[in-house]
Amino acid sequence: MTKRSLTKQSETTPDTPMTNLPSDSNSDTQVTSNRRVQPPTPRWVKVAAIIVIGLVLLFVVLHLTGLSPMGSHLNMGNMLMSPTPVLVQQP
Amino acid sequence: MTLRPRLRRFVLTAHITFAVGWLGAVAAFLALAIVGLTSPDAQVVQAIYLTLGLIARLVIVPLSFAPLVTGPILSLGTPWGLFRHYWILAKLLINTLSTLILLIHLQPISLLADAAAKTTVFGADLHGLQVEMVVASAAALLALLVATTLAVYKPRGMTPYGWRKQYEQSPASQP
Repeated sequence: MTKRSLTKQSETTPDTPMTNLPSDSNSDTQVTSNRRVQPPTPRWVKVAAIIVIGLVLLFVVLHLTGLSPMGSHLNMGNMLMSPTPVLVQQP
Repeated sequence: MTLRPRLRRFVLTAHITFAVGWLGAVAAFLALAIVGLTSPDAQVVQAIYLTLGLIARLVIVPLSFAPLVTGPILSLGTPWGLFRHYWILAKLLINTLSTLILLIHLQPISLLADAAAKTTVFGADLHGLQVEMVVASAAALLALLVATTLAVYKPRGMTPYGWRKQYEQSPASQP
């Protein structure tokens, strides 16, 4: 049997980047005769997932430790509920 | 369901307009938030936070919801599909999260706008919110730039669902 891979250079035409449609010949599928093997998850997806998880963890840690320069939304709740405004009135 | 070419171009035009408009509005918001944080002129600061409240409610919120409508219509009405390619999934995730985070930040935006309506001098307690406006809008701008880049480059990669669907539809899978 001859192993044949259908790989693609790009799913898009650079000149019309947002108007083109995917074609059947442009697939991520590797074909071995009639048996198809699902390709692994692309590297850019893995890298993006790691970055997103890292940012979420950083955000949570900064807020939990109180190191965030933005303060806490809890303080904002106090400001909203405070009967006396925390603003400094103009003389 | 497949959109007719004329309708597809109309929805695509609307989608690009809303998405790029959202990006531009957030960029303007970021510029104003930076000036609001750093300007020594109290009247400028007051005017800026009044304006930011209006921009957020009347421009950014509508522009953030519109691509969440046109995007799925566009992808479901074409062979791209909504869950078949990672880049479309990533864009959907970015737009949904950005809209949710925007809605969460409407409260501090309103608080700053209300404060600006009452006084021109902000207390130290509001400084954190002023910083938050800059950080949140910068993060939103970055996320929207990533979404725009994904839309243009369309990086390869099919989800397991997309791969299964393609396999089911291809002639080779027929007995």
